[in-house]
Amino acid sequence: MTQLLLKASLETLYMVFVATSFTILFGLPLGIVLVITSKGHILERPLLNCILSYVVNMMRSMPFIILMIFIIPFTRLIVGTSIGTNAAIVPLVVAAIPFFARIVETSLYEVDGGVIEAATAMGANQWEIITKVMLPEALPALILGTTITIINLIGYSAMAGAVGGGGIGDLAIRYGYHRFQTDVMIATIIILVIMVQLLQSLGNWLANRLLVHRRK
Amino acid sequence: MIQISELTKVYSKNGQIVKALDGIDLEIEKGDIYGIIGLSGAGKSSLIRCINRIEEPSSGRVVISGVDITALSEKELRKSRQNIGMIFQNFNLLSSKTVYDNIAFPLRLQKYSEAIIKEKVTSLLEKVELTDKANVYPSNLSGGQKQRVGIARALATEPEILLCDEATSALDPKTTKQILSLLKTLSYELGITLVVITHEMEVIKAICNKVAILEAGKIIEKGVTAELFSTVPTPQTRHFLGELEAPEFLTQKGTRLHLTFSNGSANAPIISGFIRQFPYDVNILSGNIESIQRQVVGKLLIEVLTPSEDEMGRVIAYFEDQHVVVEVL
Repeated sequence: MTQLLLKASLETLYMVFVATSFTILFGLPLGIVLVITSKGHILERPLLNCILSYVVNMMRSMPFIILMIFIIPFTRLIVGTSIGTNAAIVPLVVAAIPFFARIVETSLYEVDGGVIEAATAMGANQWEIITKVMLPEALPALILGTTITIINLIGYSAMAGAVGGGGIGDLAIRYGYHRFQTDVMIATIIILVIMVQLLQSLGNWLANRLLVHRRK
Repeated sequence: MIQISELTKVYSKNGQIVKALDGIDLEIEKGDIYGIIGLSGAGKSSLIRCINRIEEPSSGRVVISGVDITALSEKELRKSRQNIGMIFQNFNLLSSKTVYDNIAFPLRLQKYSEAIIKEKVTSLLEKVELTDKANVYPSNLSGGQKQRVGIARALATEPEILLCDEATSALDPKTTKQILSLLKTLSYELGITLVVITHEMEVIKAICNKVAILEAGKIIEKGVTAELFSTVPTPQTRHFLGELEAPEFLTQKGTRLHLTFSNGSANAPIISGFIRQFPYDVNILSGNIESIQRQVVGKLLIEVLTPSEDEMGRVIAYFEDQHVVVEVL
């Protein structure tokens, strides 16, 4: 059983790690664009903002289990198969991008408009305002938001097990549920709890370290 | 230095069209400390933001050192903004950066080498007396210290113009005085032109050699500060110029005269002269005297009892002979 658990844990970690990387890669820019194209911001584009916001809402309104099945053709296109750990990553990323984008959006809205105005008055261009003002100012909130996203991904990845995605969730369903092996079920839950706790603590610690630093 | 002509700013709010600025004409000369005063909502904030175009004017022109700011492309505009410093009511410092890095920020935008940045920031820290706070984050500074960082940051690129947007409104009276005197010293030492937006006449009196009064998007009065305080105000400008008001609980017995003394007449014994020359009773209701831009301006509200209007005419003529500005209330 230990070997099964170890393998499943590593699969979960792999799925979550890869999915997180892609989520940040696509979600961060999307969140930034959502903010800067909004009314009164540094690159106001009402139409684009409206369309993006609509698309994000649409993607977020779909339950993950349905999304996973719905985008199977897309998954096949990307990884060549719809079964297995790699195939599970695609729906994970698709589901997490809009979620993470909204988190980035709220974090960046927290940045004081006056500070952005000051940077504009100093002759900063939009790119400099994003990279040198907005992102550093919002960094603690972004770290906490990323933590929440990763934890969500762990949860989703367990669901991906239902369609043969591998990982802890897969193990829990196949052994814990179908074979009535309660010990496996309990072990998987304990592993998930530990993972989430560790991550949240790490996120809190990082964000706090930055904030305490700024209060020095 | 700065010529503003026919500047308007119109925006729509809840479907209604609001004229924030309505045909502003203003000429600010090099070395001026030009105050613009108005109540909240008068358009001062829009006006100062149209000077460096962080707010787009709807029409009109802003010309700075011969360059039409309103006609510049975005790229040229960013370049020209390096010549216009700005400080804010809420300081607007980056909380994620130390005092040193905040001041270095505009220099890094211009890609100066770290060696030059260090030299410049060190000298700026000395100027604003914050050398010991270089590695501190803004959240640990007092309001006055934050504003001094703001000033240092605004001056880092050695601008010719400094825009001050309610720079002392969030500060206590003592700190306000310190910041104002720092601004005045710096403008003198560095030959910078200051545009000062405020709702406090005290700020204008303390540092501005010229002033414009803004109301509902229009300039209702402008001129040399000391002169403005020693002329008869219009009904609109009374409020701003701090005209004396008779206490409400006094019943009016005679004619009330508002007297304004400036340099020469402020020290002369005009009331005792009046008493010796006229057989009429006079009551002093209110008065004050202050120094505005090194000019002494005194105000006195008196009530005089005369038997006829002709006699009142003689009284007024007497005061005017003494170079006192008389206003019959």
